[in-house]
Amino acid sequence: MQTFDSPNVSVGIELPKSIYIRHRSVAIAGKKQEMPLAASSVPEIKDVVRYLILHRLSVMCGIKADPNSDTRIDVVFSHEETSQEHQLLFPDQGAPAKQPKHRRGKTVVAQPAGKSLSVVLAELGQRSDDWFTENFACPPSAISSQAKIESLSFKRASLFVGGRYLKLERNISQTPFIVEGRRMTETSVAEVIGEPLQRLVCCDEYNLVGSGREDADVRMLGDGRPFYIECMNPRIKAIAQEQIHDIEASLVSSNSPVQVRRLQIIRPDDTSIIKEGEENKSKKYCALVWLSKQLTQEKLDEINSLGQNGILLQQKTPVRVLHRRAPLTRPKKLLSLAISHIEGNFYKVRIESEAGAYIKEFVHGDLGRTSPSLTELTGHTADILELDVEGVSLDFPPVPEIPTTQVA
Amino acid sequence: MVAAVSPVEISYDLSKYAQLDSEWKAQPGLYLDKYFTRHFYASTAAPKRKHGEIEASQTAEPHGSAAAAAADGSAAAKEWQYVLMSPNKLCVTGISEHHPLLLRQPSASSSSLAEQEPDTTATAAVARVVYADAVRNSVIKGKGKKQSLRVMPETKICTVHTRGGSEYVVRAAVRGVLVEWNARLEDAPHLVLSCPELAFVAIVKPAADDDAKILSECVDCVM
Repeated sequence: MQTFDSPNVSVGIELPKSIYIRHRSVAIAGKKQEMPLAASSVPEIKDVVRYLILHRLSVMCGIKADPNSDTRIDVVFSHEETSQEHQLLFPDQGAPAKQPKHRRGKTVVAQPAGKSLSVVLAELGQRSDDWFTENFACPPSAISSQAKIESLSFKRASLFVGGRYLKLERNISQTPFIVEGRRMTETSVAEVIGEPLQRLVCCDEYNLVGSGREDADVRMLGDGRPFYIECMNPRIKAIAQEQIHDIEASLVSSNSPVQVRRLQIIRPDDTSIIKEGEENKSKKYCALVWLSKQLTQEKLDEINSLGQNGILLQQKTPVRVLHRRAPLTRPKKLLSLAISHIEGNFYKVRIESEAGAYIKEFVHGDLGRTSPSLTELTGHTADILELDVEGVSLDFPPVPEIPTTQVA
Repeated sequence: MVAAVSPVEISYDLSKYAQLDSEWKAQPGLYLDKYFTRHFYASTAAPKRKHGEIEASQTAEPHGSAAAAAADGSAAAKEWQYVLMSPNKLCVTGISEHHPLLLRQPSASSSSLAEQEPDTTATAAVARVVYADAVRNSVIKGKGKKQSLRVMPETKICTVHTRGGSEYVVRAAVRGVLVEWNARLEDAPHLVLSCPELAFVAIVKPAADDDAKILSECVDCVM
């Protein structure tokens, strides 16, 4: 379904550049002939066209005009016959040497060739009436063809849906993870939540932003991790909370490895909380650790009592991300650490840490580049076999009115 | 599939780690294979090493048959460095257990990484590790590490000096830029022998993308 459910709309008009040339021409002719057509009283063609379009839309679809509408229609007109008239302002210039490019995020986009409107208007403003009269007919010559609408584009402000996600199985990345055209994980948190949402609001694309993220092989348990999904150009925004809740319920009933809690529509302003939380809020973890030699009870107790008071780590940028992050040493605090013996060389380690601490590197030490590490503290080679995030201490979003799924 | 579990309940299925447990108990260093692919690079003898020095080191440091072979550069006595390559292609290099310096060391470090001071009076003991000036003066910062020192596989990164007067050159092993050198070795040179895991020498970000090109000067096993 492609119909936008917007109650209002705003319209942007782009006219052929020749309009501005002709507008000037008419104004000059009016002055000369002392007609009551002072430049200031010649109405802007743009406003007239905009009004006509809005009026027609209102009659056809009952939609109201509102310059602050979240929905915008951009109408671009072109007129083949007069398409080069503005070139008179640039008599000595040949073909443009290079197509200017500019970067949008990561993609390099080519700028349309030729003069931009602002350049044309600036140049027009520089030319005197006399110069103009010499170079262009005033009033302008008649035209024999109509202008046409070259393009229509519809854009609507994004819809933001927030919640907390749980990842109950391993090998699921937060967002689609594609390297050299190949997917590294079968699915992603973003797709599991985004697909049903996309069907509901009929958006072009969706983009998930989490308050931090965990590796694909790490589960996200407890109350989940706060996130929001931005749905781009949604056709439907009038969504009832029940419909949103249905997505949450169906993920539970289908035993999906990715689930959500507190899913709800949020305001665009609320999204900043997510990023702030990433940097400031502590996280709780549980890990399965292997040690090359079993610990004595004394050693175990020693580490646990050390862990109760918190441990300050100096972490060099882990080797596994060193290719894309600046080489720095970051001090990170482990607020608490508790280690317990499971059996043989296997131990369970519970950690509460400051945001941004690399837990895997704390366990094995990253070749001595994270210090202290569990390897150092125990005096034996330590490696982490499994990691789970048990809690992310940011309270977002607020619990919505419809009761969410109770934890079994 | 259970819904979110409360903290106390996480339990692990250890049976799937049974094989890993026995393999690693025998050789704890194997855990690195989870994070890196393992390769080797043979550093050629330091050009500075004069003939007279080689003879002196042979008598002072009983490397066994390795020493005798050193002069003619046969496989057994090559100065092997390990080159651990991360999935992101970064290469960590250091002195391998197959290197003459470590060959005669018992694998004491397999069960305990306590940094006990080895016998520093032994002539084989490492007296100091001196990094090349170019390395010490290099600038490593920023995501792109654009100002970093460019290295070739044979670029000298540091020289290890033993008490007996021998010198071993450790080289970059791959072509790229230097992203880290282990200054810790300058302060605690004994780590080279006692704690080879903490004694990596340098980390290089390769220029090439392709594994074969990156590891062109390396081999997958010590021959």
